[in-house]
Amino acid sequence: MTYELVEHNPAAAPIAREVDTYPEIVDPDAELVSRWQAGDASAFETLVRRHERPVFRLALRMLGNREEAEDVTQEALLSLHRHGRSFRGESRFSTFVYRVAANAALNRRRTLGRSRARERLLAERQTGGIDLPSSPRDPGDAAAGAQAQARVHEALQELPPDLRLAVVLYDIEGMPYGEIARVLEVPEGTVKSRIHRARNALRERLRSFVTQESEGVDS
Amino acid sequence: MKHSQIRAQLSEYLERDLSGEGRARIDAHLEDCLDCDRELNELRATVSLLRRLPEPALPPGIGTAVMARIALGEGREARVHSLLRRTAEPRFAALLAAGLAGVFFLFQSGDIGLATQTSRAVAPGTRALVAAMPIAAEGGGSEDAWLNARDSGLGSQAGVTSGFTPAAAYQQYRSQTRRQEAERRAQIQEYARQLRGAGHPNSASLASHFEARPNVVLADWQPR
Repeated sequence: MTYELVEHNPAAAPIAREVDTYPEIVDPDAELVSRWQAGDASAFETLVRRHERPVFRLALRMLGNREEAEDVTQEALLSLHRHGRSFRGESRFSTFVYRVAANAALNRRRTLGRSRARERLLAERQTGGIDLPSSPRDPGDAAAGAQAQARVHEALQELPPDLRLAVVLYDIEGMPYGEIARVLEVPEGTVKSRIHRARNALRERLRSFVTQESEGVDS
Repeated sequence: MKHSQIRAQLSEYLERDLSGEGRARIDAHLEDCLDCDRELNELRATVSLLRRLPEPALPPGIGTAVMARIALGEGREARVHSLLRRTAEPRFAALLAAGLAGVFFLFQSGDIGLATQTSRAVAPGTRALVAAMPIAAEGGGSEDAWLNARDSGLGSQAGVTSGFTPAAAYQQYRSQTRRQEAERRAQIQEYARQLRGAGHPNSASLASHFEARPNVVLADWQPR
């Protein structure tokens, strides 16, 4: 059967994902958070350094534009500083960070004129650098891959924000369902259905790449 | 089972989230249904494309810019919210209770007129109020400086008010606050230096923005 062969394809291997055993999991940020809440500003700086990358990644996937994403990342981290002292450890701190970042990105998205976003997207595509990887994983197929990546990035932007957020958190950030449910404050069943709907919508939008990919996988 | 029911579960099937029975049902269906099998492969290919998106390069200087903006006073809690939150703290609750008790005592002893003149006029009621005030625990940020200064003046006197003068406490508050301001300014300069070194297109303008404000008033709250 084809799907058995496919499962041995490393490209389609399941993403490394933490098992969702919260709240037994020890929060790696707990000590820093309590030091910060007790008034140690350097602890907050360490937290910023630790979380700026995932926040930026999420903002970029949500907004599709590096400049906006950088702006929203700064706003989200400031908002974290503003509201983080009231964090009481009901969830992991990283979940709280993602929630703040997701809200910041969704708010920015709402205020951003669609036409402006579209203009920028076009300009970026023309200059050929939607998001340049810090290190291409396989230089051999980098050129072919870049086109597909640009299209995937663009297709993500075409999804409704709630579907996009769910699929970004699951398939790109590798978060378990339970944690996504806490970030989005919706039931796990809703998370699963949003992920499935998002994947299906992407499948339709990425038709030519998907066919190529699945044939490559089949052969 | 209908095709639509099978297709609705294909993501969970891919993630191996289904029970043995549910999985077996889909396996059996896929044996015979080429359309659903193709859809599964396409879904798998979509997920694979998504997961191969490269890690974007992080723009330099984000963290530094955030810390600099915080040092300049952004990212503070709203004042009212902060006050509301602080009233829940035991020390503030104790202060509030002591204040209320003091006011009550003043009314009782009938010397309210004296107490409302200046704080140097040490009325019996004031003494009771001061004695009831809690001794400050650890030092805090600049917000706490005034309270700490006042409380430490009280603590050493343990209910005797003669050694406590608002002027002395204010001096202590000022020196503590000045030291904190100097430290914070040095920190801002350091962030500005880092931003210049980060090489980000915006870093130069950000850094000059911070450097142009060396005299930011960090402790704008003055004791009355």
